[in-house]
Amino acid sequence: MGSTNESAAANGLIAVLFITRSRPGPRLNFHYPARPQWPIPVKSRKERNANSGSDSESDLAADEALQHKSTKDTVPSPEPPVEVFQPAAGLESGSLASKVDTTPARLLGYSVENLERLLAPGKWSDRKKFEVCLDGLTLLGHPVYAGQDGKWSADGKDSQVIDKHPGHALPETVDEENEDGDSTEMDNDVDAQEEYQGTTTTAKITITAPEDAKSSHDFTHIPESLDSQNGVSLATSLNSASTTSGVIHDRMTMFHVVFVVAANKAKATADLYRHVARKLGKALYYCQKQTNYVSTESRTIMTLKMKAKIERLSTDALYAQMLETSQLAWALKEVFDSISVGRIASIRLDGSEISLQIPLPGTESHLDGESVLGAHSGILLLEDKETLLRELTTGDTSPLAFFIREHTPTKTLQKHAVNLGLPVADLLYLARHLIKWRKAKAITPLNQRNYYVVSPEAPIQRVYDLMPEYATRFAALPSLPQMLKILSGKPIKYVMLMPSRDHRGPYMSILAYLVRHGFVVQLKTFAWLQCPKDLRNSVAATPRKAATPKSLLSPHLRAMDDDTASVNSDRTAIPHAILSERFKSRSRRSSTGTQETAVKDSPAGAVSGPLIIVNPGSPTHVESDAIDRIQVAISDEEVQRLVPSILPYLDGEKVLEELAPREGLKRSHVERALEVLEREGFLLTFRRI
Amino acid sequence: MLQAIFYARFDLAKGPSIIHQHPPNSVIPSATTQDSTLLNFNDISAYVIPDYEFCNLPLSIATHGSRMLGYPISIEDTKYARNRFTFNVCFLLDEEDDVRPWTQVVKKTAMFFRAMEEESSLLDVEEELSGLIWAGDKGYPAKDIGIVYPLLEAVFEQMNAYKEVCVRVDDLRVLNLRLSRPREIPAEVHGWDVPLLTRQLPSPAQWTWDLALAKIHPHIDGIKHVRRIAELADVEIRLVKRTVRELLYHERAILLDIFHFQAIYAPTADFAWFAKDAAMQEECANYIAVDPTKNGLAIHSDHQTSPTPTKETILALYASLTPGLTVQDFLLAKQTELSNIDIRRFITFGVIKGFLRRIHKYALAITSSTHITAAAIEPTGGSSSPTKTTKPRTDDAIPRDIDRAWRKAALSSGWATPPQTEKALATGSGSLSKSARSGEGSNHSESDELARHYLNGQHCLDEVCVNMHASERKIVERLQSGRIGEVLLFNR
Repeated sequence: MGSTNESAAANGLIAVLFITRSRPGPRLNFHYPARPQWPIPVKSRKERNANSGSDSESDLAADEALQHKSTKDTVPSPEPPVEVFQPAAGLESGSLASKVDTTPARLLGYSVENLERLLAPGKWSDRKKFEVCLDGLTLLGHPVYAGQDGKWSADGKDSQVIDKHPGHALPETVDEENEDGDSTEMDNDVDAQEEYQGTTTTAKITITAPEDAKSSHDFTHIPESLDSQNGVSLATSLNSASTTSGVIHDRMTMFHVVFVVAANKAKATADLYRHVARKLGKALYYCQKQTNYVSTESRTIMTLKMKAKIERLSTDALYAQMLETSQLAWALKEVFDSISVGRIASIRLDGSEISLQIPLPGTESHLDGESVLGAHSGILLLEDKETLLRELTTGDTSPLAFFIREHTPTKTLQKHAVNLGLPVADLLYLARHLIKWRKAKAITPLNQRNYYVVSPEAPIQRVYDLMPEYATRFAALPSLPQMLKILSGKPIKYVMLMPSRDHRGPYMSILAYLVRHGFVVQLKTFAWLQCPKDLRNSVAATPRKAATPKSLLSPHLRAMDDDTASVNSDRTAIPHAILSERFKSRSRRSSTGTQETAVKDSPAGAVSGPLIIVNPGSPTHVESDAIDRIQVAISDEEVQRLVPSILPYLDGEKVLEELAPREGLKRSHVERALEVLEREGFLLTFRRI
Repeated sequence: MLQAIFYARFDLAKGPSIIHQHPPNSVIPSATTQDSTLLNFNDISAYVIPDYEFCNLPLSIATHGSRMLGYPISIEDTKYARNRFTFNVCFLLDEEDDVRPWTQVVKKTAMFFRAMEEESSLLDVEEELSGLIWAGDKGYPAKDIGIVYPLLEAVFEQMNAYKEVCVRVDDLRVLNLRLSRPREIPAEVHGWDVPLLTRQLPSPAQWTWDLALAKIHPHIDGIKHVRRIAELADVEIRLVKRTVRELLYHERAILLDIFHFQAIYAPTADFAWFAKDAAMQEECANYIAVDPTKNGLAIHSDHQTSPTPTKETILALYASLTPGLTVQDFLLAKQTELSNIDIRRFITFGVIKGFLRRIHKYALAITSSTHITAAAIEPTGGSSSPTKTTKPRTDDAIPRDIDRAWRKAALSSGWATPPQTEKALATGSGSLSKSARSGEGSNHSESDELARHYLNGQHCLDEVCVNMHASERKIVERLQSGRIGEVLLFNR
């Protein structure tokens, strides 16, 4: 598991921002972490300096220092409140302010104000993918807008809350504040806000005049935004200066959770949008429609920020408060913390739980990407059954609980289906669900007669941690290091490790444990059919229709021609019986043992060797001849009968251990057949993970 | 594939507006026709001409299935109205296209336009030209007027046709662009990696080689590992690593593992592909063939063996490699078949082609022995042996730092650098002075001390061998001597 998590973790998530737009304009409501790890470009930019002369003060590292400095700055200048309300101002630069100019709050190396505008696209982006790449950063989100009339819900039950016509704005805002139990002083505040928008805007315009002119084009499609752009911070900040507990809330017309990602992860970005950003956006939209959740939460956050500003709380203290008070802030933190390291984020929004994750690549053991979950796969639970059952909210009687209780990693889903009396399709669905949420992984069912070896990605660093747990689980059995040592030697069938039949249960549990933690993987067997040299000689000796001109093109045919020549010239074929005799004396310890002998016994192997049939599906003439020959030559009748069903698997790409369940054959029969074929030299096998 | 290219500017009266686009009607619909456009410019105009803070930076946006790559440029000068001239040359691609090859093209184009404006005001002047028709207006484009439209057209046509652009604007300016896929930055090179050149390097006459490359080049042969190359060429290992990494970046070299007879190799999934590829097997046969009489490793049977092994033999031999089987055992088991095969080439061919993988051996300390210092271990369990664990120090940065510091000191003081002392040096800060005082006698315990740095299961034995200048067999002997406590050796 460890290694898979690491690979998924490389999604370069830097921060999560939460933007809302209300009548005064877009606003960065919340972001996590408080200080994103994004280096500010060292090279100061001409344009930035032109906008704000105090570029250097924006260094995030200097944050705390500034905070301290600001507490000493007891003389309130007329301007600080202006800056105070800028959402991130309290986080990034304290209230350090020069007498005439303000240091704009900065985030990710840009001014928060500009970022807010950048990340509040027009209504064209409503519930669509929004992706902007900015100098090494990708900003990705799923903006959600209120309906055409500014309403969030279709039935209009909370229409009084979200009516956005300016004329109706005031009283309804108040209503809403009252509803939510906030201060009733809001009346006055809002009045003040309205008044101040006109006057203070002009004060600021001198600082960023060209920008205003330009940015007016940004939101021409939003009627209110033109006049409200500059008012966003000013009006409300005035309010914050005038009251200690007041909250200004405007009807939110849009919200947007933005994921900030390092831009060089294009694939990760697509996944992040599909699996996290969009789902979160949809969930929030639902909550907003139902209970006005998002606007309530954003108001909570803004209140805290304002209070923190006034009380001159440190960023850390503010964050602690926000995370404690606002469920949404906590949810965003959880999303960031989990997604950035590739884990599943489980969050609670408005009382309902949702889980978000970027699925692991393939959601499979990444070493065998080709094996897709099917009826013949098994699954391995990655957590204990008890734990899983406890986590289940569906209750003990649900099919999922039933499946988990009865599950064993040694059976295919098909067998499970039969045992449980459920349709295979249902089990596949349950299995996919478990795999998707990383509670299980798809495997070839564990079998004691399979080969298992230590995985190249075995999390060896965890051996020390797991040893005590392992020791308590499997007391009086070989220790974890011992098992690893044995399984990293020459591959043997797992059953060979078991001292007796009675040990089967515990040893299979050990195996499941090792596979679950990624220590071992199955070593799979693959094979091709091969026609030994002498059999081919006999093919050549009895002049069949022989080589058609067409098959002359085959490289194998040439080999055969050589073969014939050499045989005719000086050598006699070793009688087949003798060969088989020798093979029988050999143990089948190494699959290649027979192969090796075959070559050894025919020193002419350098000139003419066996014919290997690499494409049993579409054999050439020579190859089908050889296949016929082999079938006739097989001594065992039962094996002969099995050959047609085995043959398609002998292409070097199909796992022989899966043959029996897929073809509905008895494993012991198939094994015996393969053994016979190999012993008689008709099989070239190799094993790989 | 470039879908469209346009030149937009901040107009004082109209705001962000497209002046030129190609193909015509691609973004701004013409007044006469009602063709559908690739995207709605009004939606994204804020991202074509953004806030000044976001100017002079790459800025792109994906929407409506297209991706607009831009590099807004804002030039500040008092000669302009409002003291600014802001424009952007944007490239429209399909949203799914890989943008990485384009980023440099977009940037270079932006810089080219910027230079045109800054040096000669060509962009500003163009708008004064009589007869200039703006995109979307009737009669657009007016092909003979101005330089921007022909330039965009040429970039668009040539880029889509050749993935290269060469346009001359005037006597001084030529825009050259080429779409090239940026290469992956190779991972760090280790001391125990073996570089192998896969392509000829341009001769020093054609290319100026850097000094390190010139010195190490004769030693890069697919056999010597980086540390050995450093020693033979007398180049600092850091420089060797950097040079090798450079060669990897330019795809001139690949990294192999150290070939030795205790190594283990096993086939990968690609082996099935190899078995089907007759040409590859032919190549393999020619590469690995060796005259049997000159093959010191093979027993010489009186059988006549042909100069090249057959494909079937090769396949059978590769198939018989399995986890847990060392090259040595493999060699002993297959002496006859291998008589006309160069075993090293046989293995490296598989590794190079990717159908063999090396299985490395790792060591993990399980129980402490009495003489391990307390600093190096943290016993976590009781006295029963399976739970009594040690956690060897994982910090191998320390020996390296000390090595470097010591070398620096040695060089500045004019000492000779005895190669012998290196392993003692790497043992850590405590043993530095100790090793200087005690002579040959303590060599063993120092090596064991060093070995403990590598016993956390994270360091393959190749690494240990290279750093300790010892063969794997010796290291294994030492690890199993009991002096270091119980050590688990495993392959993965």
